[in-house]
Amino acid sequence: MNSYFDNGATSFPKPPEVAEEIARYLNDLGGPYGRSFYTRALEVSGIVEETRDRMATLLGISDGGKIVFTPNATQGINTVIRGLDLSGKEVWITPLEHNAVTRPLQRLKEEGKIEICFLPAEIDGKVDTEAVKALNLSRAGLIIVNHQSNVNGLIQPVQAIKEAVDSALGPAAGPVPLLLDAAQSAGHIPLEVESLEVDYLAFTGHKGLLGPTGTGGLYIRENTSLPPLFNGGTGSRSESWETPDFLPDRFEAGTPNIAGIFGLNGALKSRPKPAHSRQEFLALISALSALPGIRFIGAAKPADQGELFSLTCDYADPSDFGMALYEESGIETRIGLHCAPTAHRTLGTYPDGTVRIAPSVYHTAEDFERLILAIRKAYEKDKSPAGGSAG
Amino acid sequence: MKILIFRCTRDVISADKRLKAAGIARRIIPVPRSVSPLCGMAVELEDEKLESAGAVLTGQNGKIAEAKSTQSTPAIEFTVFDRKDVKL
Repeated sequence: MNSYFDNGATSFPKPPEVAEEIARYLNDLGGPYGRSFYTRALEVSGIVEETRDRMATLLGISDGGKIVFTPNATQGINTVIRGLDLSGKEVWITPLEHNAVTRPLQRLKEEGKIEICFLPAEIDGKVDTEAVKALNLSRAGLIIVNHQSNVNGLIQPVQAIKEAVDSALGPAAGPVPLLLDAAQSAGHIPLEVESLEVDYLAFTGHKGLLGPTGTGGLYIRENTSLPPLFNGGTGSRSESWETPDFLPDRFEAGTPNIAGIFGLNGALKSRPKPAHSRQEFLALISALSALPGIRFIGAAKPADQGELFSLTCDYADPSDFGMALYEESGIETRIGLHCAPTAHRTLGTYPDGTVRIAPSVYHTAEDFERLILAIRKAYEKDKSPAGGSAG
Repeated sequence: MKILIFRCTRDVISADKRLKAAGIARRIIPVPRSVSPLCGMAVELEDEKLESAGAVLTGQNGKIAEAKSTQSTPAIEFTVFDRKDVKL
């Protein structure tokens, strides 16, 4: 049985090509990205650019040069939040945002630069786009949307949100940039980024894309005056102390994680077919929702449900319940607030948090059946006088 | 011989890929120090290949060789130097 259900933290297993490509780079190839002229450097640079172009194709972006590699989504998010001139502005976010968004915003707020505002939403955190249309967004400087919640798996209607924001702004207003946090969605949910007309998109390589940790990227629709988060050598315009103003170099100072990018390329080249169907996943959450004593925390509508959700147990706190799942059945989950206290406050699970279940494409219907049995078993263990602690 | 110098690594890689797909013979050399302080790669090709290479790289005359239909074909900027004016 595949007992690893913590793919929302990082995905496992990976396609074998991931490790093979990393090993190929470390053992057989080596060499830098750019900076040198020999065949080895040309081949390495070619793989890095091939990876960039594969990501662009996956995300529906016509020019791979608009993707800059970052170590993770958090750095991309920080680049936008800390780089834009937001002084005196409001930043509007969904009520399901991750700390990768709320912490840099909190820093700006403490510096007296911004106000943080919440987009109106329904009980599961889905943005209420009709209510958005009635907002006064005259002071908005940035809109941030967590595409798929890392707590309840809710998929936000990005296009509808953008249209609602545009409607609220009115035709005379200037555009307000939209940052899409695709950390949980990239690789799981098809994205046509250019069609969505989002201005920035941050992704990570080690979750749904099945790549290694230390990889990710930021898509920048129009290269305007956004400054890089840090400066350094790029292998271009080397005579100058000025950072290049063109993509991707502007945002890729220093040596990139070449080994990791090779691994990401391996993942993108060999994306596995899902081992379960959408119907089998929906059957899983339907079965879990029907278990007595178990509360399913997901999207209110199946159509909005990504393949990640949370559970609580009426007899035990999430720590005890998650521990019972692991000790009794080897089920690996993440317990607690998932770096998303905002989401838990919205969903009514703060401060105890939840047990999060995050399957991968490798889970089968049989794995789901065993998960249901394991949850029943853990619940019974916690419920009995001899096992577990009082809730 | 002509030497083509590009803005960044991505542009060199993209150029090399397009020129290869178009069947234009070239080789990768270090950027000549006497013409540019850029690090990394430049493309060297025969004089008579320059016009066709330019068409491929700038998208003129529709002579773009693209392997991926989903990729756009932005023009790749480059600067041309004559080999005889350059010290390697």
